[in-house]
Formats: sequence, C-alpha cells, structure tokens
Amino acid sequence: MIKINVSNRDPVTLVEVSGRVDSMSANQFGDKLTEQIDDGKILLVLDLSGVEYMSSAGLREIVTSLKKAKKAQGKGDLRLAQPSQRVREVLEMSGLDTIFRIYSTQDDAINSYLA
Amino acid sequence: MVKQVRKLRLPGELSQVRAACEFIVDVASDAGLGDDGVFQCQLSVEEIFTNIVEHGYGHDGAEKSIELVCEISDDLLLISLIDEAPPFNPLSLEDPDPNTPLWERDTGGWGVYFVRKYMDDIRYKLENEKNRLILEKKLG
Repeated sequence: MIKINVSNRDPVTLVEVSGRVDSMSANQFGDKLTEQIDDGKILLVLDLSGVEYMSSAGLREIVTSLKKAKKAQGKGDLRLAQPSQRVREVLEMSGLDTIFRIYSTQDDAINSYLA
Repeated sequence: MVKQVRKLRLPGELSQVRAACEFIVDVASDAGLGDDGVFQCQLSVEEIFTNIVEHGYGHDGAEKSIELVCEISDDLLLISLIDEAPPFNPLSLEDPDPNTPLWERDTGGWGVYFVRKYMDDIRYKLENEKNRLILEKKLG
C-alpha cells in the first residue's frame, strides 16, 4: 500500500508519500491531503520521490487538493517535489506540469514559500 | 499467429485491481516488453478495470466479473477486458484537453486518455451482450 508521513516545516507542511498511488489507495492519499487543508495547513509540499506509480486516480486527488488549498483563504498552494520519471510523465501527459509548481528537490519546494 | 493465450476472471470490485495489474505485468513481461511497455500496459489495464468497477458496475460488481484475455503473437500483445455491464463504448467519450486551466478542469476522463496514449490501438466490441475493449500493444 502507501505510506504517508506529514511533518511541520513552519510555515510549510510537508507530506511525503511512498508506494503505489492507484485506484485502491488514492482515497487514502486524498483524505490525508484534505485533512491538512481542513486543519488550516494550506502551504503544502507533496514529496513524490517515493511514488513509483500513479494512475489517474492519484492525479484526481492532487488536482482536487490543489483547488481546495487555493480556495482556502485565497492563498494556499500545493507544490510538488521530486516526482519520479513515471509520475512526471503522467503529469505532463495531462498538462498538470503547467498547473502545479514542481521542484527537483524537497528543499527547493519548501523554500519556494519563503521567497 | 497467436502463440499463447492467457486468461484471468476476477470479481468486478476495486479490491481486485491489483490482481489484474499483477497478471498484466506477468503477461507483458513474458511477451517481451521492456519496463516502459510493461508499465504502459499495467496503467492501461488499471484505468479500464477501474472504470468498469466504478461506472459500468457502479461499485456493485461483486457478483459480476471482469475477464482479461491476453493473446501473444510474434509482434503483438492483445489485451481484452470483457465485462457484463450495460453496453457502453468508452471510446465514444471526448478526450479531455491537457491545456484546460485548473478551475475549468473536470476530474474525469483521463484514464481512457492515457490508454489512448499508451496503446498502439484500442477497439470496442459488443459481443454476446458483453462489452469487450481490446488494447493492442506492438512488440519489438
């Protein structure tokens, strides 16, 4: 299944996911993101370096979460760090690489909120 | 000429999607596809299997089946997904547009879009009152 680790990098919330994000696990993944946003943690970095596989079910969850974060107080965001080549490919095919801010390191993604 | 035929019948439930994927990974590897090709077959089967469970069977497919039939020939792998949901051709759906801005994005439709991108051909048939979607992947 998937493992999700959430940590505080004030003011940013870092969500690290590893495993396989498919139609069986996508809800668990989406629920964890929603939980953060509902809790007021709206400056999010999603580290995807441990995700070896993501189908459209996973993409649906990150798009829904991005919309939710952006709506929250009008200043939230969900930024992506270190997607694997496979995940990057599906992001590009669906045009999401132009919608999400994507960083090649976790630090770059976190620091992008501090700039 | 078909060299090998492999079949798997699963209940039409989301909990079975990984069994479907594992089966396809085995078949696609045995057919001689590399990592990229195996991944593309796996993702395509997951997308179609999930669509059948969610839309075809409306999450009520425990008593119904999804059958995977794989035919390997010298230069082709054919993967059929056969279900007993009401007749529906997923290829009749319009592709989503990757250039759609965030706020205008509908979350659906991307699964079939990926399958179209990853497979060399995709065909739909209604056979014996069952939906049959045939995914074609060239070998070599």
